[in-house]
Amino acid sequence: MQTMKYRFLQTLRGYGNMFWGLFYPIILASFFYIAFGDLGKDTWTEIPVALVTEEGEAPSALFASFIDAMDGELITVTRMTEEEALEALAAEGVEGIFFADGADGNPTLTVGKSGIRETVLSMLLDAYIKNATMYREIGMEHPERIEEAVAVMGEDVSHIREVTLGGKTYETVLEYFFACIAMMCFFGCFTGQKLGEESAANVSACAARRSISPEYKSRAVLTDLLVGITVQFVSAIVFLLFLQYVLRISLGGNFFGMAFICLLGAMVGVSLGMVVGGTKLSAGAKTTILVGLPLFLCFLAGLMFGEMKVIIERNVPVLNRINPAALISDALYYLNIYNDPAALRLRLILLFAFAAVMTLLAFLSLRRTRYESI
Amino acid sequence: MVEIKDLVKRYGDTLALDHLDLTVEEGEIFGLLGPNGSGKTTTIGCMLALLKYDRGDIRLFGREMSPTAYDLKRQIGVVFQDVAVFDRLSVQENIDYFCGLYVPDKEKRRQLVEEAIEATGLAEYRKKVPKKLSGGLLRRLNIACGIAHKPRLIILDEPTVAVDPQSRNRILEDIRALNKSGSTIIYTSHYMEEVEQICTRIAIIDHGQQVACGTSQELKEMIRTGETVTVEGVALTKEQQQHIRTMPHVYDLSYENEELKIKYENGTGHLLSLLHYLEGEEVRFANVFSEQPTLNDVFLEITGKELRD
Repeated sequence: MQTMKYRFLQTLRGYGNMFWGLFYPIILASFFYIAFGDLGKDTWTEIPVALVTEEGEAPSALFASFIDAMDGELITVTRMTEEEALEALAAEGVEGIFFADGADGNPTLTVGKSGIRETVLSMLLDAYIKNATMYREIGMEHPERIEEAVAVMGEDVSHIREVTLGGKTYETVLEYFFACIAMMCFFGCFTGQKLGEESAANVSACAARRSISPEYKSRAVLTDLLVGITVQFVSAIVFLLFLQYVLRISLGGNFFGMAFICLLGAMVGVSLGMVVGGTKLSAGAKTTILVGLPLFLCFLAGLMFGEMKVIIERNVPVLNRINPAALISDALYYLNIYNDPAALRLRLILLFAFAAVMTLLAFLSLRRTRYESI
Repeated sequence: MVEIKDLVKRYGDTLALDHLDLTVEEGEIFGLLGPNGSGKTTTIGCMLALLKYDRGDIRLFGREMSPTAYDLKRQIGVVFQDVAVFDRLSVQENIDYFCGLYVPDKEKRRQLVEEAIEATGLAEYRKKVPKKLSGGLLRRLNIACGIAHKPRLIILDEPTVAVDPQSRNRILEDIRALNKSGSTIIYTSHYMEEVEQICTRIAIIDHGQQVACGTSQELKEMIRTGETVTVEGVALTKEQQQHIRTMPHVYDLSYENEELKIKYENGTGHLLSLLHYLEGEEVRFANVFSEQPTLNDVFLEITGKELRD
């Protein structure tokens, strides 16, 4: 216990490593928060749209009912003639025009520019067209229930609103934060590096002094692993609490699940650092590896470019299965947003295997007791 | 206490230890003297089972040394050439940590840590972290971490490198005190004055081989040089130089830039004989001094090169 106490003290007083392992991710997350707006807060403003209809047409009336049901929810609807609507669009009085009677009988949408708000209008139209046949049948056979049917569609549409906050879809933004969590787990490698250097007698004099003591080498390495993983895991918990309670980002309800994923991530990060730290590479080479590798893996996991992981998933999906940063971010995604237990289980198994292999590698590489040179 | 027989260690193609034999008796301050790269630190590394070696036998306290010989390790304290302390722990915490690897009992350890702090004069620096200490204090902390558990055998590998003279004297006093308190000391250095000052027996090693071993006096008696007389600011004719060369016990003479250096074989009173001769010849000179042989002379004569090369 006395040994462990001092190993904790030595690690916790490493302010440089603590900066990279905790404060840097906090700063980065705060920048994300500022960049993406007030996440979690409802800052949505309704989109002003014009609705152009031809009186008396049944299909047109059905679409008009649907759009009216959305009025005040996602959009603000003003009925106009085609001319008025085009003028309003040109003057940016409205952001889109719904033509209830398009050329092929289906309603159409005209927008002035492209962006997330225009995408929402397009999603509304798609939601209607997808179910139009069903509504027509209801309108003909049970006209008294058409309002009820439109209300049901309204529930579907409200989902569109839930996932569109702050100018980006909420899911996309969360992916940045999930990648940020992966990065912070990986940055435990700096703590691991120092611990690795202090365990390998051919790297530091301190480790040599430890090696010639009667302390069992395997116990010493395990102590260091435990210290490093605990420090990084606690840092990860602090980071999660910061995201949830300071930045008020709703990551999802399963805090313990996230904590478990962070634990596996911390094992990977700290072990990686210990393996690299325990080698005879120069300090510069070690830093290059331990900065470059996590950042590259996190880049592939979407830290700098949110779509990166999707692109990889489409083209080289295996890369996302062997990239521990992508596994962490995916596991958080499947845990909190996309409820897919099978996909989550696969990520957790792969991540666990990764963590176990890395920890074992760190243990085996550092438990050596005799060296070729010191 | 320490027996090394036929130890061979190679670094690739380089032969670092060449069939080295060493024996250290209990209670000694045993000096391992040799120039940089002669194999001193490698010998220590092999002795502590830190380094692999190609051949040989190392026995400590009568038993074979190995990485898992924990009961042997418990009786050894090491002070490495590089300062081996944790940079973020205070003086007291460092000593307590390393002592704790040997002494699990908290009360006993507390007492030992206090004794080590007092012995190395670090009491007023106990709360300071290593980077706040001067070079000399850092070396003393390094020693305190190696000796706090009161080991039977203490190995000090060049503990005074880059230390100011005052701290060096303090460290040498500490080493003598440790020896008096019952510890056997192995002291490696390339500073012959230090080795001569504190060691009871000395092994000179070069190119991984032991070239001589004995007390300081025994080593000096092994060589031809008994006394070296230097006369500065003297003008001599060739005949006078030739006459001096034929004086009893003179075996080497050099005369350059009005400086005369004469090496005598064993015996005493050579300086007086020389002065009588110079007086008779009415030869004037500026300075004259006589030197007894040093370990450097021993090393020079045995290996053909200076210890400080």
